[in-house]
Amino acid sequence: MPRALEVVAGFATNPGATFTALTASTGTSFTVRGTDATKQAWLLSAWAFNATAGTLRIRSTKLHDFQQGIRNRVTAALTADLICGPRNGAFAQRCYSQDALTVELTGGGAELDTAALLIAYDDLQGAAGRFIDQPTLKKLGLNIVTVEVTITAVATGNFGGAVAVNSTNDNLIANTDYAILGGLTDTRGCAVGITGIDFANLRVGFPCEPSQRFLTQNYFEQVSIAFNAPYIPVFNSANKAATTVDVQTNGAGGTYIIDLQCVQLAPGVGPGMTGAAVAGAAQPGA
Amino acid sequence: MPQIERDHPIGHPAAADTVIGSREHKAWIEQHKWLENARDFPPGHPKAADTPGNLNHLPLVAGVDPLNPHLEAHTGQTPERAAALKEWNRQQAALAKDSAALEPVDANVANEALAAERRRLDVDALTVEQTQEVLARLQRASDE
Repeated sequence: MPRALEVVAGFATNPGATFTALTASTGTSFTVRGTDATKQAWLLSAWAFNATAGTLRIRSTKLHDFQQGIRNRVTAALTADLICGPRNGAFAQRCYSQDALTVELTGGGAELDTAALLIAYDDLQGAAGRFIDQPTLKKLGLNIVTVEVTITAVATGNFGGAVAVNSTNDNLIANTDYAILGGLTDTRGCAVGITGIDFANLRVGFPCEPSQRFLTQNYFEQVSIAFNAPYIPVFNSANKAATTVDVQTNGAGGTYIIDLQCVQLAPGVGPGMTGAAVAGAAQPGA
Repeated sequence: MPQIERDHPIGHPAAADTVIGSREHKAWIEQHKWLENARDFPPGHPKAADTPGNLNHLPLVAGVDPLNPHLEAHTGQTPERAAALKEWNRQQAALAKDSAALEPVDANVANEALAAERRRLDVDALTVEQTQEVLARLQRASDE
């Protein structure tokens, strides 16, 4: 199934107490991508990064109501999931093809406040990414490896400072698949994005929160378990130069050290993939 | 020497030798008021409201060290360091570039084309330019 996962983000300039529609970051949009009407799209999560506390509101005529819809208080300086709860059990909000979501923030009167949405597509024709689920990870996973990169973010509310996954340490085994479980950041931002051919050139991402490491370090794995679907992105080291990591943050910018938590996979994940390693021991509980 | 073992502390209402209403009993009650929500903490506890020098008046704000409120919230940096870092980030952000918006692709199709290119060039991995060339070729083919 040509599954796709995409983090889209935006920013509001000096929203204050007024709900201000977010300007989508360059290359992203709050309009759900066009899919076959019989194929589902899902809002899996949403989070915001406010220097001043505010409220994130997501609404659409096609969702519950267009007055208040989904609105949640954003704590100052805490980039954490506000809806759906991708830990343990979770409930995804269904989205509709080409529906323009109205995403708004309140926050500080003299700052750039940012928010991000994680949207999944069951079948996005023409854009198929490579994703696995937890049982497949358990079956094919061999070794944990950290991919560390240093990113200098832009201060415009866009995703920026993209660097390749091998820009700091070029230690991935040639022509081998790696699952990205999640990641850690040392500095607070809104979203960490990972873009590559293996993700259909769409950006997968997770909250850029340094204090909730148990939430982000295996974020995609938790999302996959919570929604019972394959949402753990997989990339091949042959594409390392074109697989990039970037950050979206507020007007303060910042330098981020991102540690992506990856697992080397045995061969057999996708067509044309030939991993270099042999199968490892079974995981605990297997 | 016989071993004397008390059943309960002196003054405890359940102790065999406690006379209810006695000085020992009243002292025990005073010492244990907190157990019945009459006190916040036992007398003399560093957090008890009536203990001299307690720190209960300090506000506990998220991310702020209550004993060092002058340090930046969450990071614990001194104001000087925080200001210097902010200035550094501002300068660096001005030099950083927005990420490019990419055309969505089918990963399986693209990977097949990239694998073929790697075989043709006899390399383990393509450069960014070589990858983009292959993707551009795919894009042109799909446009035609």
